[in-house]
Amino acid sequence: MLRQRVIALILLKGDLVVQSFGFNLHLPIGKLDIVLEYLELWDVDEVIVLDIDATKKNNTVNFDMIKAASKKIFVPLTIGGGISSVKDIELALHNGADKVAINAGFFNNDGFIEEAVQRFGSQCIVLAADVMLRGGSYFVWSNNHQYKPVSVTEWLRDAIRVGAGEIFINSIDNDGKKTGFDMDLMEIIEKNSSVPLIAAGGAGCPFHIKQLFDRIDSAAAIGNILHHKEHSVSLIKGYLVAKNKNVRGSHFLNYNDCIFNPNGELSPTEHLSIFFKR
Amino acid sequence: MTKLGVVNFGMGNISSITNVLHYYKIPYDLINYTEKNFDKHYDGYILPGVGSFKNAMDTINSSGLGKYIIQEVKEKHAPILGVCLGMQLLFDSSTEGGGARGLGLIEGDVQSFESSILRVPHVGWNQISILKKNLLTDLDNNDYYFDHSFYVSTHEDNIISTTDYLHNFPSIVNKGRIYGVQFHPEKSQLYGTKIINNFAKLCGGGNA
Repeated sequence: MLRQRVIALILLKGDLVVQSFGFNLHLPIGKLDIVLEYLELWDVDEVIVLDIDATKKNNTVNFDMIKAASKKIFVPLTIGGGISSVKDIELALHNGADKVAINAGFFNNDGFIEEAVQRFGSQCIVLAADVMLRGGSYFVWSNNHQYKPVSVTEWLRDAIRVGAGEIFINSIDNDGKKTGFDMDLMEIIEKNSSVPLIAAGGAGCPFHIKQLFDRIDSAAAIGNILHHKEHSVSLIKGYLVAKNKNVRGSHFLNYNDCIFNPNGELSPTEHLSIFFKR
Repeated sequence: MTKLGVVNFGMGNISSITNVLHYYKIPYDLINYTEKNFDKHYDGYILPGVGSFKNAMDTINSSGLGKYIIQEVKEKHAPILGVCLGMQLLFDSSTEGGGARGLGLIEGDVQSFESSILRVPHVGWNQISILKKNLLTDLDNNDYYFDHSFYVSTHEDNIISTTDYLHNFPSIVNKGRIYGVQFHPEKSQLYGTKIINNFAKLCGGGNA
């Protein structure tokens, strides 16, 4: 049976990995290759790397850095940031990406998505939207409000029409709040699309991922909670396996039999007892 | 020394495959579709690929790669491993894009997942059920990473493992020294990269 995916969402500002809060405050984490090496070791299912400054700077994500960081990463890698032509996609794929995420490039789409789908197949194209709730409706915003916001259902219809292989939805409202995913938003996307969905924005603890998996047929993209914590992905998977969620367990670092608190975290004493049991 | 040829017809992420070959220190050459002549012989071939069946076959045929691969596999009995689209290309034909002919190395055809129940493409980690003892893997029920909208339909003699999405479809196929995997071993962590190493072993190389 197809597993529900726990995806690491790694945000870059230029060459620096950051945490993001509300799309406007960013805290530095460190170097991409080191972050990826640990996530791979902790059995993450996939990685999405987005350069959030690239479009603003009229640039693309640093392909040389991606290439170097991807050498020992044997899980799927999706790359985004300023990708707006077939040539950009080709460069991404030649530098270690398996898929590309396209956000602003789809907003001012001049037909290149259709061409890219023809050439590389839809499974390679992830269309991404940053979504905000305004006056009771959800709108897609792009590139620091450079473009007029469009209704999320309208955006979704277009994304499916041009042949998106996956839909990536990030909630601007929930970003960095640690209150959980925007379930109403994800439900709208789930109901109006038969393309695989990736939900992002708001996961503050493992329980929030369970909440998403309980209600919605979607992958969970998590970012902030992966950093500053040893074995972060393995711990999350241990909790999800213990809660009978259909996830691919962690092989090397197995936390399946531990006692988790209601948030899905280990208490410090539980940490210690595991240490001594081993 | 055993050396593999990795076929590059200009679509998809060749570096994911070559990253694994580097990791296991398996010698290889890229066989680029832009080359003028294809006359070198390798101990085995990897045919990776993502994207459209018809586009891929157009490039493979017009570049001369198709004739070369068929000759190497059929006349010189060189082993070949097709990955994802590369596996589908080993078969007779596909219904994709109004129909296209494949390399015809294994009898069978390629069909699309059509479903109102499940999401397409089939993307993520799914398990394989091994039906037959084989040289690529003996790890039953293991997870591998899939990303595809089409699947292969072939005689059961050619099927090594199946995977369940909507119905059971072949996830590993084999006929003689011809192998195909529908999932991405190069993106399936240790148990996936081992499959590529095992293929190199059956070509006479690989790493212990």
